[in-house]
Amino acid sequence: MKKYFMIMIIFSLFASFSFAKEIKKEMKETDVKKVELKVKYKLADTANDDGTSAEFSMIPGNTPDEIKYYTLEIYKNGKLVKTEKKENSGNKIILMLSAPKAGTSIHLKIYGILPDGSKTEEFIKTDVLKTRAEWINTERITALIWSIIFVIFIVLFVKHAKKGKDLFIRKIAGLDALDDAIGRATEMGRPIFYIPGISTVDDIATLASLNILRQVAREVAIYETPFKVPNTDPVVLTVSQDVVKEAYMSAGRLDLYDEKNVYLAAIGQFAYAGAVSGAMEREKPATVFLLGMFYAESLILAETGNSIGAIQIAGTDSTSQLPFFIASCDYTLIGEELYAASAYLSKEPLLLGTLKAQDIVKGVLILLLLISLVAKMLGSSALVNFFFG
Amino acid sequence: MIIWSTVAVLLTLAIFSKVFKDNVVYKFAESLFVGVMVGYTVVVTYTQIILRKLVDPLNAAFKAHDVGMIIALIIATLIGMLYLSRFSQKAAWVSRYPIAITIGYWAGYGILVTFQSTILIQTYSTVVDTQTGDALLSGAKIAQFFKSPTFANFMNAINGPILVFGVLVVLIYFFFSFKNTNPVIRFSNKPALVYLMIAFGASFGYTFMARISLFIGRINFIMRDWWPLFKKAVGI
Repeated sequence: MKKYFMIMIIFSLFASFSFAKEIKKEMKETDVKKVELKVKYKLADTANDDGTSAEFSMIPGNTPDEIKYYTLEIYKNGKLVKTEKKENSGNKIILMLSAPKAGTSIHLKIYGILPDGSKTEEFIKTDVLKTRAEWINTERITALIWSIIFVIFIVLFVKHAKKGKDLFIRKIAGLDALDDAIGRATEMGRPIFYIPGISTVDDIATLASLNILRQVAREVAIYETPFKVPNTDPVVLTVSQDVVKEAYMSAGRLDLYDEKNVYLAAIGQFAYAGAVSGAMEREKPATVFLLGMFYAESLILAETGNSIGAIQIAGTDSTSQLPFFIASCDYTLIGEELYAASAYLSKEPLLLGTLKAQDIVKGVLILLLLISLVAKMLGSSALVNFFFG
Repeated sequence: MIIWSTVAVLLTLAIFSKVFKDNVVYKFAESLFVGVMVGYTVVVTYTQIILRKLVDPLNAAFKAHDVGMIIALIIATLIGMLYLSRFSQKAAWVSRYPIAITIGYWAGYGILVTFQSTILIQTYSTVVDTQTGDALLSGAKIAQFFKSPTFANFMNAINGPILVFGVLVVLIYFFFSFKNTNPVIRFSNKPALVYLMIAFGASFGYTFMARISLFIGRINFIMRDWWPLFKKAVGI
């Protein structure tokens, strides 16, 4: 009896264990069914780029209770390169993907992370995308048309100026003081400092400054005034040296040109500010030109010049530095006046033509702006989108 | 720690000493700064430009047998090396080639970018409120103010006209082809200057506050960071 009883117990234990296992199995199957990955995704090449990026976006179809996070495995040319974990807040998930070069194959595998922290076995594999480089950036077509119009005007006006026709430019106050400033330094027997900013040669303000430098150096050479041009950028230094040398040559005073006066004062913004303001304190220039692109060092330089009693003519297109020049310099060329200055001083056909073309384009711009304003007031956005979109 | 902090404090005070007069201590700090910056720039140029932009890509190109990239990098390097001709008086003119290429490239590149970023976008924003898509000059906003004359509606009504008028007069201010006696120029001159000066004044105040905060940061470093360390080190 005892024997049969033991067999029954063992049998019932085995049966209950198998039964529990079956239930557990069934439950697991229902769990897997519950967390079926539902995602709407889009993997697309970035438009108007050089083929080095793609955009991935997905809208989660699972609630955050089902899938807490999504794990995105990013494959480039078949190799797993990165894994991103994104929280499922129900909102669209956007991912910018970079590619080493055009033609890179990109695909992703999307996994879900359950609230208990486990990863779903199933995953969604996206289609493979090959990144593509575009020749034309369609977003810049309007800018291209404007640029072509601008260049046509430049060519027309340069031709016009070369024929010897007079192109009028109104007086610019700061430039009328140029002769006085150079004359003052000459009479006092003290040097003139010309600071062409701290930017590189690719900056438009630096190029404008180098154009003005030529005119100033020519006048300085005529009056035999000591002239110093401290630089911070090695390329600007070489251009400055050439410009000053040519100016001295055109004034017939190459004998006065000393390359050591157009020098590299320091490399780096504040090192340059320190070196130049120190040089100003010691050499006490009578006139200081601060023309070009300036940043936070503008006030250090302008204030030093002011404290030593130099007459200062400044100019920059950096709107954040103009207030400091206005506060501490005698004359300030504001923004475009800096570009106009070289044309005003030299009267060279190329520069005059460019300035005239600028004015014409500005006039056209104002006219189109007024038309667009009226159209927009009447409820139409077509014109503003066409002209400036 | 205390040694380098003390050096930083002494150099800070050396630079501040110029407020009173140019002196030997300031000159020392200035020369040290200039020298350190040159050394630092040489190292950064070597590690960030020569190694990263030339040596590494060249190695990678050789490994990948990317002939196009190898040729491009070698040509660029040779053009860059033309700058070295400055050391010879006879051949110095050769350095004008890389300069001409640099200036030409950036001037051409700059035209389109400037049109796009500083002209078209700004002009567009003068017509359309980019946040709402509404017209900046809107009769409806003015009508709304007369319907419900609150301060918010007043500001909403005048914002657009103030901005549009400002853009127009400042644009006219920068016309160089007309005499200063031209009636349009004469009319727009003063309002344009008022607009410019208000903008510059605001910018001045903003930047000045940023500079003051830099100064406060420096004083905080001396008083809060260095001084307790110094006291601890000397046992005060």
